Amino acid sequence: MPAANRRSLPRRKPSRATRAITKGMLYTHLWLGVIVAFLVIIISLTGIMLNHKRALGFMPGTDARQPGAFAQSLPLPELARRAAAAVTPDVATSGIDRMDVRPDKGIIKVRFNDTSITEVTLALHDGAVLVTGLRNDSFLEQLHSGDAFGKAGYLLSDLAAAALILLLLSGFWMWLYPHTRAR
Amino acid sequence: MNTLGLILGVFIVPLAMLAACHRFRRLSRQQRRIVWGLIIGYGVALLLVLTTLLVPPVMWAPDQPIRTFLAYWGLFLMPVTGALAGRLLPMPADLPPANS
Repeated sequence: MPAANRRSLPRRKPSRATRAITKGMLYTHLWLGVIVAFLVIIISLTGIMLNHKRALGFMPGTDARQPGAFAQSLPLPELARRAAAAVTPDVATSGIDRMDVRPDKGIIKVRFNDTSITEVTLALHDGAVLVTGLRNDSFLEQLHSGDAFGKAGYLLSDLAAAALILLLLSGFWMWLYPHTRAR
Repeated sequence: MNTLGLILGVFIVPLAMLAACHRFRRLSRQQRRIVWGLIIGYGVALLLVLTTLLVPPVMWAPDQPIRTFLAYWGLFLMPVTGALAGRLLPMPADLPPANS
């Protein structure tokens, strides 16, 4: 059909229900967008930074595989002692948060409980210190999930996720019915 | 207490901005200045608080009180400061008509 004829066709009047839904969608989109803007910006920024955490230098790491069989590994208390000796006394006294063993690489990562989250990577078979550095990505993860804001902080993240779904649905509705007069 | 500041900044201030903007054309000059103060304050606070949170990306420590304070209270206090500035700063005199 030629464009001129198509333009001359009368547009079907939207039903009252469609107009009511569009009005609801418009205000949902409008109000929710502003309210969750800060949360969504935080989640998006930290998400991008986490995706590139290694390239941005937020986590210490070594790709070199260590020789020696897993069966010849030093005992965990000995590895913990060597890790503690590799960091400053205040970091060592903060205690160990976790020990992450990688048998295929022959390494163990010892993470301390200090504020900066220091991590020491050691060889499993001889306890040699390979890398010492800060796990900045751990804080980014807490910020991403909302844990950085306290025990109930994850609810903020849940809220932002639910709001994003609603924003998507309301935006999609308004794209489907752009000519419906909402107000 | 810090959580209260965060909730006020993340939810209540945007709600107040939206409520104030809803009938913006009916507001007086003074009221519009307050709303603009709120909006500009919130915009500046967004940039500042995000920078504070992410640079450097480590958990805030007890020896970083300003960082902790900004992270929790920045989004509330800066828009309020902007609104107060809009309310209290003297209004410029009306411009004379163009052809006078």
